[in-house]
Formats: sequence, structure tokens, C-alpha cells
Amino acid sequence: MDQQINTPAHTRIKESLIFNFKYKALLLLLVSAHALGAQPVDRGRTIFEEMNIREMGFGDFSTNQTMVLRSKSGQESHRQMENFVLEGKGEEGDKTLIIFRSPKRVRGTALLTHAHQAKDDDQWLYLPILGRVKRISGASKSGAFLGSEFSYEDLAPLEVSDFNYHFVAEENVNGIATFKVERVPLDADSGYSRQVVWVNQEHYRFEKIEFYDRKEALLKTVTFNDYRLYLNKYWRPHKILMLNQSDGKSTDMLIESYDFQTGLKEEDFTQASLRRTK
Amino acid sequence: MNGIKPLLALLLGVVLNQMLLSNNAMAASQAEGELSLQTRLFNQDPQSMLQEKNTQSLAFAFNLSGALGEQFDAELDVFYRYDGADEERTKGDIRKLYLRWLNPHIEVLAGFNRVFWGVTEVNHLVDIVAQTDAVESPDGETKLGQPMIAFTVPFENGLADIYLLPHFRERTFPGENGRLRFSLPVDYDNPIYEDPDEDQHIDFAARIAKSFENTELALSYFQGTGRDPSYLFGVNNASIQPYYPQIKQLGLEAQYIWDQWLFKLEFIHRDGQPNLFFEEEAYQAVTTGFEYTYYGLAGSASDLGIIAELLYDSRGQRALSTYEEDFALGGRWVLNNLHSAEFIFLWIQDLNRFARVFAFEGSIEMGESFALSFESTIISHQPQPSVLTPLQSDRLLYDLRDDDSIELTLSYYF
Repeated sequence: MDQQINTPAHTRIKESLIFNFKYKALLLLLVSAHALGAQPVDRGRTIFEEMNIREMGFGDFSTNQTMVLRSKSGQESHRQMENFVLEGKGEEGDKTLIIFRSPKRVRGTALLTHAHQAKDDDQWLYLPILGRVKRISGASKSGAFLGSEFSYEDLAPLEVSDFNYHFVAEENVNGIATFKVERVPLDADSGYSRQVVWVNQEHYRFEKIEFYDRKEALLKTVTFNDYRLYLNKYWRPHKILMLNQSDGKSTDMLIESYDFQTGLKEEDFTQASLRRTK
Repeated sequence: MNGIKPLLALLLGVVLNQMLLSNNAMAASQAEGELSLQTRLFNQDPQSMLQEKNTQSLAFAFNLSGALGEQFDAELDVFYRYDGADEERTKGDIRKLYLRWLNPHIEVLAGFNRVFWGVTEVNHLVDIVAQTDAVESPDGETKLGQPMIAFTVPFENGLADIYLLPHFRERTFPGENGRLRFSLPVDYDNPIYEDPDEDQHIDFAARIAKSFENTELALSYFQGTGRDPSYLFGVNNASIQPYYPQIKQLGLEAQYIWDQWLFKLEFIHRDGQPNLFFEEEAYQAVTTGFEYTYYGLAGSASDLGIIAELLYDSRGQRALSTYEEDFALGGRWVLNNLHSAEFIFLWIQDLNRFARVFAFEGSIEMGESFALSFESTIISHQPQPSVLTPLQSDRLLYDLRDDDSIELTLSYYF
């Protein structure tokens, strides 16, 4: 998750000030005042900025995840992976490393991503049979992730500045008070024309997202379940259920647990470390 | 192998002792393997009566890896194949057996390892550290374990590697009974070396690689026993003897990313390698092209990656490779379905002659632990090379003209 607030006004201030955590609160105040004076910021955007602020400072975490791929007729297939995330410092986006553990034929294959704001991510793929590290295009957002209903962009770390926002309403979803916000991806390579997002009002976490394809048809719905609290601060889902509305296929992403602040470092997210993947 | 045996025994002892016996030293370890049954079918009669028509083989691979405390890790990777027809394809290899010291500023690896350099897909010009296991896979993508002491120094967005290579490994070739071989059998038991130290000559390799915003660049240098053999014709042209010269090679790899396009270039300059006529000839070779991927092909979940590459060798028909002036077009269709089905096609066309190779590959997963794959190669060469110039690089393909094949492999992963 992103930890920067990136309104245009804020960007200007950043350019002229030495950015420092100490000044963050002051900056926020300035930004709000400045932005409100110049143009009204959509309430939807402020909700996502608040989500980001609540995400800051996690440092790093790792998970073991299983994807259950299901066809319309109920036939299942499993994919297992390990996921490592390092929070970006300052202006930098997060760094992630995904190592595939099953299907066994592709085990040891790994994907390293250096996320960036306002430009394509850097991505490298490690192919263990050849021992080859291959730089791949970070623009490949809309591709299906390992045959699942998740696309790469659904799993990539997103920045607030990746979307335009429009606040829709406050809505009750299964008895939970939520903010309903529509967001439009700014990247032309995105597979979506827009997303409708329901954000939990109390904890500022995702409850549900609807994805609309480029023809404005409802493509997929994802729901976030079994949230648990880590380090007394970070809510994390353990069951993410993605349903493809157009063909009835679905993918369950099951996360055993999150290990926070395990001491991951920058040097665990380099080409040299990628080559050491086993 | 005399010089390397004590080192090998020592390493094997240390690694296995640490990994298997002292549980407390192991932070994490994993053991995995693959057992595969393969059948190769040839639809034409072989050129020589000695050669097989069809063959079955069984292969076994085992990998053990893990951390040894905080600062060391180790890996063992062994392979064995039994081939029903070709005694040269019945063989084992230690692909990896190393101990590595890990430090944020330097990695030092001692033992057997496989190293890959390069960015292009059809051939791998720059790649030189590990020898090609040609009998295992004719496309050259399988490598033999290379004994080495390797130093890696990471730096901002890049890394530098230095390799000392104390023992040379000969290229593998199909035997008399095998298919996909030269019309003359290779006398692999009697290779000739330029250097009096023969396979004990200490070779040196280095590579520096750096990522820029949209560009990957790498420069490499190799000095020592060439991995590609030149060929000497034996008495009465009864067989071919591999000749391993002392060479120097400078290599360049570049890749530029523009949206979903990857533009690639590999270039080498090599000194010291005798050409097909056994005359020493400095040469340059280039492979360049692009890769583009369509996601969600025709509204489906499948992806189609397209590659196109031009292959050039300044020696022309004196080249040791058939890729002296060729064009390649290929595609990889990934269905993104429950069975991870994917299909690959590749067409390599010689630009000067009517010589070409078609290759088709496909694979599906069956449950968690089984996979089925097929690979088919169709080689065309018309007409017969002139009797007056029996030696030209495309001749290498002519020798394979009757070796169109289908290979089916069933693999079990554990």
C-alpha cells in the first residue's frame, strides 16, 4: 500500500520542502487548506488518503497464500505462493517478491516488483530451470495472474494517485456501515473502465469492489473476509473471494497468516537476491 | 576430473553433513524432485542403420537446498537419465553442488553451479560460463554443472560477477545410436585441447549488469577454453574430433522496455575460435529482436506473446552455428486455465538457403503433481548441399533432415 498523499498541491509543496516525517502533520494541514482553497477535493479521495495514512509504518510483512481456482462447473485447481512485502521509503513505492510453490512444475519461479508512482512498475521474473532473471514489462497490468480471476493489477500495490475518485453514498453492506466510492484508473493499460469500492467506515478497510470492464459491463466482484488485527494497527483479510460475473469462474485467495516486521531489508528485493530464489 | 575430485568430495561431505545430520544448523531446507518418462518418435527412417527409430527414456532429478545458519546456504541438484537406445544419453550430472557465503556486500560461491547470461530467446550468444548439455536438449537450453569459485558484488540497481573456472567440461553429443546428430559420429572420447593443461586450464569470466529506468545493460568478458568445439575430421573422415581452443570473448546484452514491448540485443566478439574450415577467424555475432505480449487475447483469459529475432554471424557459411543469417518468429500462447495449458511455436528460417526449423511445444498440468508435455521439431533442408562445398554451416541442419520428431514426456513432481 502507498503511504504518500499525492494531490497536485501536495506535490508542489514536496518539491519545495525537505520532506520529513516530523513535518507530515503540518504538511497535511497545509495541503488540506491549500487544496480546499483551490478546488474541492472529492470526499472519495480523502477516504483513500485516510486509508493510506492508516497503512503507513508497517515496515514489512510476509505471507503464505493459496489460490483456489474454480471453474463454472466447480472443478478446482490450487496455486500456492509465498509473498514478501517491503514498505517503500519516502517517495518510493513498495517492493514485493512472490515465489510460486505450486503447481510443482513452476515452483521456484519468482516475480520481483518495484512499484512506482506515476510510472510503470519495474518487474523481473526469475525462471529457475534456466537460472535466468528476465526483466518484463511493468505495463502488463490486465493479464490474468497464474490462470486465476485476479489480474496483476488487482494484486499490485496501488497508489492514491493511480485513480480519480467520486464519492457516491454511505451504504450498509451486510450490516456494516461503508463509504461507497467510485474510482477511475488513470492508467490507459488498466483492464477496467472504473471500480466501485465499499470501504468500512470504522476501520477504513475494503469490504467489496466491483470491477467494470472497458465496455462498462460488470466483470468481477471481490469481497474481503476474515479480517484480523496485526500490531494493534493493521487490519488484514484472510479470505479474498473473486467472482467473475461474465463466465461464472471464481478464485479464492486464502492467507494463512501475516508475519509483520520480520526484518526484511532492501537487499532482499534485488536482482542478486532474486537469483538466489529456491 | 582428477583435479576436481577432492574438492567435490569435500564439498559434498560438508553440504550433506550440514543439511542432513545437524538439524539445528538448518534454518530452512527443502527437498524436491522430478521423475519423468519420455518417448521420442521419429517419423522417418534414420540415415544410418545404427540409429534408433524410436526410443524411451527415464529421467530422475533431485534437489536439496537450504540455509546453513545465518551466513551460508547450500544446494545440491543431481540429474540422471537412462535412454533405451543411445548410450551417450544415458548419463548423470551434478548440476549444482555448492556452498555459498552470503553477506550484504559480497557473495562467494564454491562448487558446481549453472549460470545463465542473456536476453534473447532463440539462441544464447553471450551465455558461456556453463557447458551445453546438447544430448539432453538439442535447443541448447540445458547446461552441465560448472565447477567454479564465483564472487558476486551487488550495487545500486546492478551486480558484478567474477568467476574462476578451474575445470572444463566437454560438450555432450548424441552417440552412434542416437538421432539428431551429425552424419559422422563425434569421437567424444578424444577431444583435442589447444592448451597443454587441457581440461584443467583455469578459465576466467566476468559480467557487470545494471538496470536503468527502461533499460537493462550487461557487459561480459570470458577468457579460457571455448565451450563451443571446433571440429577436426579424423582419419578417412570416419569421425569428427571436437577441438577446444583458447578464446577471448567480449559480450554485450541490452534490453529496452517500451510499454508492452521488449527490444533485445546480444552481441559478441570472439577471438581464437577456428571456423568450420579450421582456420582461426575472429568474428562477431548478433541476435536482435523484440517480444510483445497481448493480454486477454480476443476477450478470453489467454495471453499471446510474440517474438521475432534476427540472427547473424560474420563468418557466414564458415560459422560453427547454423544461425549465420537467419530469421526467427515465435509465439507462446498461455491459456490461463485450470490446467495451465500453454503452447509454443517457433519458426527459424535461413535467409540464404531453403533451410528451416519448425518447433511446436505444449504442456498441461494434471493435478498438483503431474504434467504432460510434447515437443515436435520439423527440419527441412532442400536441396542437398553441393558436393564441391560439403562444408558449410547449413550442412549441420542438412545432417538432421531426417530427424523430424515428436517427444512426449510425462513428469511426476515430488
